[in-house]
This record gives sequence, structure tokens and C-alpha cells, in this order.
Amino acid sequence: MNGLVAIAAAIAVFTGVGAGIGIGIATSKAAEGVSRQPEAAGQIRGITLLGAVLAEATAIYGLFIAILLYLKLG
Amino acid sequence: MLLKFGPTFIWTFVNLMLLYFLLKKLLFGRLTLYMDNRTKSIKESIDNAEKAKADAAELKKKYEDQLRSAKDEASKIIDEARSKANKEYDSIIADAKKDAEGVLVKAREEIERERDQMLSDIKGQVASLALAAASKVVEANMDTASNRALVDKFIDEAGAA
Amino acid sequence: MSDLNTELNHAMLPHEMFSIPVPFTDYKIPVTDTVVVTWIIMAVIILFAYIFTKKLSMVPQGKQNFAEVVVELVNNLVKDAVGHHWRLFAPYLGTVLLFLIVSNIVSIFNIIPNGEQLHKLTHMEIFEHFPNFALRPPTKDINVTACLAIMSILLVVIGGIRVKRLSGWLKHFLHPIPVMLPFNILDYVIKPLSLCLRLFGNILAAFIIMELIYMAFPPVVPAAFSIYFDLFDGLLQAYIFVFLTSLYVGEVVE
Repeated sequence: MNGLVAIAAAIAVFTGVGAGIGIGIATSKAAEGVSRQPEAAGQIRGITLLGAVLAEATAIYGLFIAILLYLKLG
Repeated sequence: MLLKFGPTFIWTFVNLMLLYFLLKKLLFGRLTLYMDNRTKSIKESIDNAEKAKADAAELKKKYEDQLRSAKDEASKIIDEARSKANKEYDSIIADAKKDAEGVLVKAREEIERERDQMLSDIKGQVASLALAAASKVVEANMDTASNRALVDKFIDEAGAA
Repeated sequence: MSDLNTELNHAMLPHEMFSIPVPFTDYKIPVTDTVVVTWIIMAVIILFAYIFTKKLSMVPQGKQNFAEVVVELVNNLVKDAVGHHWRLFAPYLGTVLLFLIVSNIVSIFNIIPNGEQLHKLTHMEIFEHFPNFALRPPTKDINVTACLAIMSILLVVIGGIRVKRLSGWLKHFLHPIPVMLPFNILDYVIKPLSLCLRLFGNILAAFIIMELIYMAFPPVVPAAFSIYFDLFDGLLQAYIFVFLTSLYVGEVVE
């Protein structure tokens, strides 16, 4: 049982993949945007940060579930 | 437990509130006020400087105008004086010329008159002389009026010739 | 394996260090190491704030310049997000920013090993009597992040009511169309939840990774990783927390 819970925790942490891809796309688009319009760098930075933070939230929720499961392991 | 909520929650609230009031008093409120004041004073001094500059420019313009008008005035005065002097000079010269001419004319008239006088004197004497000579020659009564007229006529003809 | 597990658990969980008895009752208010570290951080921040603003003059110089840069940074951050009413919110958000910056990166001082670690490394007797106290970031305790998140949402509510008056504030729940009402109400639950979990998860994850690195390769290697996990991540998360809070405030106030 404990082994299964540990695997479940590992799968939960796998949400980080999605967040990583999402943040990567957001950052690459932001870099494109800045190179195309350097004068809008300030605005783009804010939007990118917001997007990255929202994408990151999924990873954090996954991590949170993993921690809950880990605590269940005791 | 990792996710147990407890007194730490209350502690954090109290701590943060304390930190907030202390920092607001010590750091943020005070420095923001200071920076606002500085911004205001810098703005004021810049405004003052601009005003002073504008005033100075206005004064400068005024002085320049005054200077220019004074110069104009001066040149006008000089021109006037010059023309007046010229006129005076001209009039003086003209007067002098007129005087000189007058003196000349007078002198000439005097000379003429003197000459006439002399001529008539000489004529009289010549007539007397002629009469005396003629009477001496004729021994007759030539001293009458008709004879004298005759002699005068003769002398006139002689003088004219 | 179980040794590592208990050690990791020990590092992750807050411990009660002492308790303050409430007069006339049997109840004692426990004080965990999270609170003690918070107090240390507060003392440091207040001390620095005091030193840096002791002598203020119209022409800033030396220390005052630094303090003004910090205040200007916070003011500009809040001005960008909140706009016209930034003066109401800047002091609180600045306080949270300073507190989070220091508490997120405080574990960088763990590079200096504490008594227990020194004892384990050197087996020398004197280190046994050293205090076994590590500066662990308070933000790895969910109580702290939950409190911060709830205070942030309280700031949004109070600021919204203060700026827009009660009727105007209530009206924004029906914005842009009345059907959005349940989602707008849900916003006030989801926002603090995500703020709380984001900060907690990030700091705890970085902390766990750092603990594992400390266990695997003591004493030199962790220093390099510490720069990313403690310093960079901590600063970023502190900034993000304040940035998002000011964004939420700006949404309601504007």
C-alpha cells in the first residue's frame, strides 16, 4: 500500500512537466515579443510573469498533493 | 503535521501588523513624505528659476529698448544741432556777405559822389576860369547871364567830348 | 531510509520551542521556531530601517540613498499596478515585500553549519553544546503563508470598500455581467488559496531540495545550489507575491 501511495505522489509531482512546458512557451513568446518591440518590454515582462505564475500554479498544486500523500506515508 | 493550522497563524498576524505599523512610521510613510517634499521643492525652485529667467529677459528687453531710444534721441539731437549750426553758419556767412556788399556799394557811391562833386567843382572853376579868360579876351561885358549860359554849354560839350 | 525520512521530517515541520502561559488559565500559547525566526527577521528589518533612516536630510546621501531606492522601488511597483490610490497600499505591500525577501532567503545562512552538523562532521565535544538552531524560512510554514494570503485578500476587500465605497464595491461583483456573480465570489476564495499555496509550495520545495543537498554533499557543494534555490527563487517568489497582490488590488480599485 505504501509503495502505491509513493507512486501516486510521484505521479502527482509529474504535473511539473505541464508547468515547465507552459512557462517555456510563455517565455519564448515573450522573448520574441521583446525582440520585435523592445519598447514594450515593461508590459511584456508583467504579462509573462503573470502567465508563468499561473502556469506554475498547476505544478504547485501537484507538489501539494504529493506532499499530502507523502505525509500519509508517515 | 505539516498542514496543521495553529497559534502560528495568529502570531504571524500580530507580527505582521506590528511590522507594518513600525515600518510605516519608520520607513515608508516618512521617506515618501520626504521624497514628495523634495519633489515639490525642486519643482518650486525650477519654477522660480524659470520666472526669474523670464523676468530677466523682460528687463533686458526693456533696457535694450531704452538704450536704443536713447541712442536715437542722441543722434536726433546731434543732427538737429548740426543742422542748426549749419543754418547759423550759412546765415552768418550770408550776413557778412551782405554787409560787405553794402560797404562796397556805399564806398562806390561815395567815390562816385565825390567824383561828381569834384567834377562839378572843377566844371564851376573851369567855367569861372573860362569866363575870366574870355572877359579878359573880349573885355566886354561877358558877365551877363546869357553869356554865362553860353559858356556852361560850351564846357559841357567840351566835357562830354 | 527511515533515518533520512525522520531527518527530513524534522527539518520540514515547525517545532515548539517554548510556550507563553496565559494568566489565570491553564492554556499555554506555544511558540514555534517559525515564530522565533519571524521575530529575528522583524528585528533585523526594523534595525536596518532605523539605521538607514536615522538622519534624514533634504539632500540624500549615503544610507538615506539606499533607503530611498527601496521605498521608490516599492512605490513604483504599487503605482504601476494600483495607479491613482497607491499611497493607501504602498506601505503594507512594501512591508510584505521586505518581510518576504528576508524570510525567503534567510535559509542561505544555513551554509554556516549549526552545532549538530558541526558535531557530526568533526566529532568534537565542544560543538555538542552549541545551540541546535537553524534559520529555516518562516514561509515554509503554511500558517505564515495562509496568514499572508488572507491578509492580502483582506487588503483587497478593505481597499476596495475604502476607495469605491460599499455600494461601488458590491457592484463590482456583478461586473461585467450579473451571471458572473458566483465566479466573482469564488475569486475571493481562489486568489488567497493560490497565493498561499504558491508561496508555501515554492519555498517548501526549494527548502526540501536544499535539505537533501545538504544531506548528500556537505559542506561546500550546497553553497552553489543555495544561490539558485534560496536566493533567486526566494527573491522571485517574494516579488511575485507582492506583484499579484498589487494586481488584485488594482483590479478592484481601478
